[in-house]
Amino acid sequence: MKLPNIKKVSYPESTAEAVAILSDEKRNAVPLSGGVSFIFASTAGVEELVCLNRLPLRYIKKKNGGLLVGATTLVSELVEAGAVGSYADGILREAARRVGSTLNRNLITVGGSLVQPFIWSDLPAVALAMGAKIRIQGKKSRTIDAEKFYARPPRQLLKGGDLVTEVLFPAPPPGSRAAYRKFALTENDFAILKVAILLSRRKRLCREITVAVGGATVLPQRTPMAEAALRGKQASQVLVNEASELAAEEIKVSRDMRCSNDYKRELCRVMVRAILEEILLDQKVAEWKLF
Amino acid sequence: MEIVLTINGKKTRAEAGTSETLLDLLRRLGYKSVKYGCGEGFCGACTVIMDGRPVNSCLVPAVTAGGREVITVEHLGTPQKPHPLQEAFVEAGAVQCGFCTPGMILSAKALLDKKSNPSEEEIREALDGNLCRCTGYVQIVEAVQLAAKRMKEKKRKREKKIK
Repeated sequence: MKLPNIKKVSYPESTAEAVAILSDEKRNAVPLSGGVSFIFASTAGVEELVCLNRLPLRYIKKKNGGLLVGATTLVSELVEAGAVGSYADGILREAARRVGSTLNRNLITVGGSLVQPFIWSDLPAVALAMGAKIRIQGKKSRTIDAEKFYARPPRQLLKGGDLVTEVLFPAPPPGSRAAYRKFALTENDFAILKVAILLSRRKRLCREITVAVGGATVLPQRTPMAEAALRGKQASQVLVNEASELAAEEIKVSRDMRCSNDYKRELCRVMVRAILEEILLDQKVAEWKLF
Repeated sequence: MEIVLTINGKKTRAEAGTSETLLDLLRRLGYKSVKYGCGEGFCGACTVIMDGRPVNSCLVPAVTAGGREVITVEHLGTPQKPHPLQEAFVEAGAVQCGFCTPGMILSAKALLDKKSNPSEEEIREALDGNLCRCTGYVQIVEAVQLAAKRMKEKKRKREKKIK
């Protein structure tokens, strides 16, 4: 950890106070909660740390069938909360459970994990699949859809004291199914690829579908062609095979020293297909624990 | 930068360097049970219990530890009177080089504080951030199970006495 030029650490008690400090350009302040990403960050220009842990942002609330999660909530608190387990087939709990190790989950916050995505982050793909809404407070407070939030590295969106304060995971539509799967070499290794899918269906009719792939690039991405292939259609094995092939073709893949890009595409095809077989075709699929 | 934190129940005033982690600070203050392993949050040798949860102290900037409650292995037992977990680790053969042991014990303690009778899977999940390169994990899991059993018996005896 290299923070050579820190002159001050402040502990604001309110969001407004934190925003005021962060928006003062002369102070060169950065926000910090879990602090985990500091190990990888270049921080020579930082002169002040703004510790967010005293802000009243550590909560998980039910809201109209959805979930409202404060930014400084720990990932391990997501895993433990009953409300998260019962939300959308447990998709958020499953993703939270697979974040790093127990020791990491006790430090990493939900806000930090969403704002500072790494290629191995688990929560961004789920936020994108569920159409999460991210609340930003600053000079201009606003709420941004996950899709826009992840169109570019999120920190480019945050300017002049902007602070992500909470995230709303909206209620899944009626008749919906959701699943998140992560492929890694061991139970808590960095993921090579992960896929989150939310769909609403009536029997075999797929009414609406969102597929989010994480880990192919740093930012999570949707697969519009695969989604279009299934939206409004009677699902069948042939169609599911087609859609998963489309997903594998259309994703952007950046270089990863652990495997070739072709391997990642093939993995994407297999994972999308297997999840769809499970939640759209109601098939029993292979033992996912292997992943 | 001066911070005040509670270490093993003792309010401590300390000068925290700006590039220091909580791990560096604790070792400088003499809490040598906290080990430097990878320094990147993978191995768990630096585990401490902070505000009731086991964390990687190598990832916590020391200057942000103000106001926190930190527990290290020094808090648990003495050579004359070890903690049930420490006893169980020795008896089950869960200690070889000993470098990972303080972290293992703290992760296990945090688990047993919350759950007195964890399943094998729960133990494995609680220890998933602590790597051991000597013994393998079988004896470690057995040690935690043994300690859980003994701590439950102790508690039962204590409650009987009170009654």
